[in-house]
Amino acid sequence: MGEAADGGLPVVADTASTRAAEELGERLQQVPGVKSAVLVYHNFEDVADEVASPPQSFRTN
Amino acid sequence: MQTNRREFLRQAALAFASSVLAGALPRNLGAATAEGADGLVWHKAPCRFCGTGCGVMVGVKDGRVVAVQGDLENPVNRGLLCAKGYHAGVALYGKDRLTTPLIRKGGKLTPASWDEAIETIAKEVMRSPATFAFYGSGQWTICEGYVAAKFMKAGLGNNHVDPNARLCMASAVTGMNTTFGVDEPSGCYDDFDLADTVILWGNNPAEMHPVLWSRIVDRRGKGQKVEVIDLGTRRTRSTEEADHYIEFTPQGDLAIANGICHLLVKSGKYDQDWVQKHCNFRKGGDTEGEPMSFAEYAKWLETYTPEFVQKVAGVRPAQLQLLADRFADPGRKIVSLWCMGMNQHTRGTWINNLVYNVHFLAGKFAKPGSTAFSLTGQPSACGTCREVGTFGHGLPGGRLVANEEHRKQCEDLWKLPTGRLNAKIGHHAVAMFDALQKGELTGCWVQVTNPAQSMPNLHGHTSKLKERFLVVSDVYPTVTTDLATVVLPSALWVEKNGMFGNSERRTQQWFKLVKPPGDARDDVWQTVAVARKCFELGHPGLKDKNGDFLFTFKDAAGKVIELWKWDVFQQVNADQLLFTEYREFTMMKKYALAPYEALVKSRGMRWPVVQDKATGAWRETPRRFIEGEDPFVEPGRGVDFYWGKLKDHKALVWARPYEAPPEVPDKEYPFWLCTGRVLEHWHTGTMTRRVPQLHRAMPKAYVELNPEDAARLNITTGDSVKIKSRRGEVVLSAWINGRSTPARGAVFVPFFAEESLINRVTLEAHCPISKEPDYKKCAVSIAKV
Ligand code: SF4
Repeated sequence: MGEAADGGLPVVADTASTRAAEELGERLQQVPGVKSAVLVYHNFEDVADEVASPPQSFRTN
Repeated sequence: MQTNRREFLRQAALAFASSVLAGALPRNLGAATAEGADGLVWHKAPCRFCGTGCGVMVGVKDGRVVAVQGDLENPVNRGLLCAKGYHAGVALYGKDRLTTPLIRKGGKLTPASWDEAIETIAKEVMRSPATFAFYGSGQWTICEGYVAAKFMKAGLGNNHVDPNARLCMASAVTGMNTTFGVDEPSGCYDDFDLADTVILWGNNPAEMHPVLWSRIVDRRGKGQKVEVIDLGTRRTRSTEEADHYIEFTPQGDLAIANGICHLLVKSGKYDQDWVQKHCNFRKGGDTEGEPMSFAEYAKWLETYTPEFVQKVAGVRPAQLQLLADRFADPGRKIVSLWCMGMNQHTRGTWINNLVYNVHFLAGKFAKPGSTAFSLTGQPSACGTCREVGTFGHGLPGGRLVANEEHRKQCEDLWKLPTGRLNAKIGHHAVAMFDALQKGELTGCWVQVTNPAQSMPNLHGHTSKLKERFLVVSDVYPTVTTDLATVVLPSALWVEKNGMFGNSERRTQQWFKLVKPPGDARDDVWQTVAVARKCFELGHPGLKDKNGDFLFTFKDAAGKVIELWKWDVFQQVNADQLLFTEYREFTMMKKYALAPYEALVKSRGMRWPVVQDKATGAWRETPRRFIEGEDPFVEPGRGVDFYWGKLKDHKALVWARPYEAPPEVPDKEYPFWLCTGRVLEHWHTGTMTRRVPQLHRAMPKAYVELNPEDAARLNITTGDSVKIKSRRGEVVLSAWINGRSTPARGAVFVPFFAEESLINRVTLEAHCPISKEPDYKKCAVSIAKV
């Protein structure tokens, strides 16, 4: 965590998967007093396999 | 990843996040291409998705996009992005990217070489050039649209080229053309920072233009007062931040706008000076109309009493008065915003005209902080479709096919023999798919869009597509590639050079940063390669009047650059060559785009862009028609509508009546259906559904119901519900009290999901002037299944 500026607080989440990062983001939104949590920097170099997702289940052909 | 590097990236991310919060510029984030301390090379690009046109910094390592951050130097978004923007890099790497051309053989799409694919397409074009169409997109880069338009109009002499932008902002174009004689907004995003009141006309920017929405509502966090009035048919995330929510019956917006004008005129609280100086009055339903006096207009408005407005729009007199009071307040700065709610409307042109009327009568237009602004859905609907003129009726630089002088100008610029350009207007999007359905058109090339999911009344427009010669250039398989004869794998976003033009007339350039996967290639190259093959096969239209191929460029030594050869194409910057040629067309309508080199150095520039004679610097125009900002305003006029229809430097106030929609709920189909997008997904989901984070956040479509209707029908969240219209049906699970709440008697369904095609249900009725279909209202029945 960094220092507060203009009522905002920078937070760095280093997670093993993108899903864990999403969950953390959602939890932050729920913290009392937090108006909104937004992503400002997204590095995904370490999860290349994860982001290279298989075709999603919606494809029927 | 090594611990040191991990720690380093944490620090880099923290520093960046802190600078976003502080509004400061980080030191190392220019358009530089040098490797940063984090081992990444960072480059600028506009976001791939919506018409906001946020600046993205793209981090590249080992030939892959591995990080994305908001561009602090870009004045559009100042470092912020929405969920889609942050995942724009991930969207490149879905496993089912199309990587090789496919040709349908024996009923099956079969891998083929580029040579075979290009030749197959060119031979079919040659077989029947007059019945071959091109269907493009507001996601075309500027040069992609330009080469397609030139290939069709100059090459095949056939104007059957139209973009999907017809489905999203054609009414904004015809609205502006009929009101002040030239397309694209007068104001800019800076006005959003200054307005005292922001009025949303059937608009949900919290989900559709999230960064612009933050730009407005974040002002409150800084102690500024900004009032938001949400005029809608559905409570949305935008409503949560609104001071007033005014619900209206679909199509009632026509009556509301006239009702506000009526109250302003009746009370005498309109800006007489502004109206007298800058407006003429006009009546009639078409684009020409007839003159009328102010007194006649005032009399005409008398129909739109608060009681009448309440009857047709369901808005209470006090609510109408509140709107009128805001406009009557002389010191108040007001911005009206709209997007698909007003543009996808069977009277889309009229409602656009009417909202300008309100601003004109109040004198709240062409002033910092006061404007009426149609937001654009797609990233380059403005830059490509509207400015390049990739419509059936258009030619580059805002010119028209039907205008002989315009055709002549284009023939000169393209070095064509006189009379080459066809004077017959080409099909608009819906008519194009009708003609394909009937077999009047025999083939179509689709680029950067997915019509088998996005056309209205799908069965009526796409059920025969598989029987036609359908070429589809795309990056992932879609329901449209499923119908194709030939599928061409395309480069996506930063896998190619490109330029987009956003909602506020800002042209933004980016460079290719990584290679496309497999054998995927740029759409610009694909079109030029097919054009070249047609030239070689002897199509006379592909020659200019000197006998040269239409896409002939020469290097410094005078040698022809063989752009149609992929090896050559990759070595040169085709965007620079093509844009420089196209830019000549932009001078006539005072579009005046900046030169390529100036765009490279900037975070986009808003046209008209003119050169300062003394310094040689290029200067953009934040607001058009205002003296001191717009270089084309005649000195002394203050505000100058220099493209005004009557050539007297004035805009038109139109008397456009309320008209009931063509299909309204009845006993058999008792609900209104509205369709649209959601925050997480871009259009038909082709890219965003390949991003695991976005897919997980919004995995499937749903139908939103009003809780009272749901209770009456005994429907709860998660129940399967059949939505049926006169055209088709679809089953979806219900969502009640979820993200949004439609009015009683109305339902909402997003259109991103290919497994539940809501456009089987929608209506193709469209605005007779803009030809833009109304995806926002038709009648459906609802039943639990
Ligand atoms: S608001 Fe639009 S342009 Fe900006 S990041 Fe989101 S999708 Fe991209």
